[in-house]
Amino acid sequence: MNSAVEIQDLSFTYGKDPILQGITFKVKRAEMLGIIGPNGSGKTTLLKILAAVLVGAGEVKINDKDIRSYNRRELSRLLAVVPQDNQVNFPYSAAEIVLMGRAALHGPFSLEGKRDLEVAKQSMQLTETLSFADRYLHELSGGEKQCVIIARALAQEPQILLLDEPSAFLDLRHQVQILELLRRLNREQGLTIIAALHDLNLAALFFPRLLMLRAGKIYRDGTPRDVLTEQTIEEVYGIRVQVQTDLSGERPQVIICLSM
Amino acid sequence: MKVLDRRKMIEVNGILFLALILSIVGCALLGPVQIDLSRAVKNLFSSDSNAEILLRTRLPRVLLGAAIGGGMAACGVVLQALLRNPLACPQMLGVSAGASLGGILGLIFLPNWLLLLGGGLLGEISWVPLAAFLGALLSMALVYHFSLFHGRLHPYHLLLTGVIFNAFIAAIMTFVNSIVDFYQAQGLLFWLLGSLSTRAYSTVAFIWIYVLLGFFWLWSKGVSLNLITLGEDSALQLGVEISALQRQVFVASSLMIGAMVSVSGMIGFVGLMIPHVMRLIIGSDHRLLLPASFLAGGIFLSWADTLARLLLAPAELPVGIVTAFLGGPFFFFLLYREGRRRIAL
Repeated sequence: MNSAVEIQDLSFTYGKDPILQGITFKVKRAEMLGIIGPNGSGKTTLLKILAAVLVGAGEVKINDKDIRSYNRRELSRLLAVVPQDNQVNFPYSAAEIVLMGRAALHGPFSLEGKRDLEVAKQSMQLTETLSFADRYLHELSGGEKQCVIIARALAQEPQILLLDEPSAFLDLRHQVQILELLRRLNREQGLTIIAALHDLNLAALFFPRLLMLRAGKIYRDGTPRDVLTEQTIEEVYGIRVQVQTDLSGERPQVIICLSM
Repeated sequence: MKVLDRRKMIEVNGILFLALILSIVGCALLGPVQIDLSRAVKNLFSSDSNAEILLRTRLPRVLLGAAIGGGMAACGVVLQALLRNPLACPQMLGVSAGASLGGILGLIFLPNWLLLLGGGLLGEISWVPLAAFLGALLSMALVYHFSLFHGRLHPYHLLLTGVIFNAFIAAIMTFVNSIVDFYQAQGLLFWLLGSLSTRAYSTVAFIWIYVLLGFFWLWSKGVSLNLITLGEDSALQLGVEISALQRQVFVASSLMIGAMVSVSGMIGFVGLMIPHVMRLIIGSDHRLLLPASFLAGGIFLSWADTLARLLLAPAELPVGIVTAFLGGPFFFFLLYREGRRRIAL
């Protein structure tokens, strides 16, 4: 009934290579799901299918309706994406980039209205990007840039937020900051969040549910405790680790074992 | 937080519009023959040599130059946005060449009675612009598809495809040039160099209509053009129907390029330089960049053509040579800067 995303037997092939096979899962409204798995396991492809950038075989429902029944504008108000690659070749200021999140809301010749500016300002405050609103995007550091892109996604006022490795280029402080922001948005505003993540420890700390992919199939789906075990990580990533718990004793933390 | 507002739109476009009007008047007054403006105005409707030169010779030519400069600049803006390539412009991509080839083939191979019929129906304009339009559209589609690499446009790939395409078309034109008679070969040279010469007011009006139609069509896509510069995936998820946008931009700009090339040949570099200069001054928001570049392109080409008329007066340079003199070094500068920026990343 109240699922934000529902995927039934999804598969996707690129040329002859199967990238995703038999993927089935549901994400409830206001849930926070982390997708983990090695490079090439299909995380990005899965997110692109959810964003309707790619089309796979099988059923994908957003808010209980088939994803193909939405047009681009409708979808962009429902669902925002923070992609992995954000290279922009043209000189736009950070504020201009954030305001592009409002584009689906106004007509061909019209300029942004008062409300557009308000929403943009708010999302820039949330992501702490307001202080460099007038600087060009290509002058910003990787972390600042990423925060601007997240602000743009928030300016869409979406119900669902998809992120592809949101903390990939960030230092430790910014990584934690971004993930804390996501958790806050999830708790306070009921935003449904689906993020592909590389850092298993951060994933375990911030995401109550993890989906582990291996070669295009779901290997595990559950709480970090169920998903991140010494056995699953060795199986999926092919390295030996030790799994301990964080200070709360609830969430697993992965320690890499090097053979001496 | 500085954002584009109504005031900036009106100010920038207002100033440029005024400058364009002044340029048109100023350029019409300048030329190898001195014109006495007061006498020309006094004798506007009688046969006075001042009024004659101003109204019959200079003004239509300057108006034509303004339309073509504006149109080329506008096409440059949208092609750079759509292809996410700051080095794109009608000439670089081979679209102007494709339009010329289309026009030439139309001129040579369309049967005479059809050309005459077209001439009868459409005045000085015949089927040639239509052939040029088809040539432009076809070459745009070809270059676009050849530079797609795994569904992505690579900047240098696109440029390389354009270079090869240009060379290929040049070869075809040289071939055509050697099989046609002397009279037709003279005409070919005109297409290759690009030149503005005085045309009937009906032709000037025809060009303005095409250019304005295409321009407003493109301008209405301003927001989508902003989004497409972020990349196709981002644009898609921000609400742009990309293939529809691509089709419309290709058709609208081909329409403009076809019409422009069929009366003035290949005038290069306007479509490359003006968008860059304007981006530096007013930013990259296409809702403002597009009209501002259109007006600035008109101003630029009016003066470039005046320079072409004056430099070797009473002889006349093709205006394409003037724009190439200015544009060639500018292009190298851009290439150099792009290369440095990429390495710095």
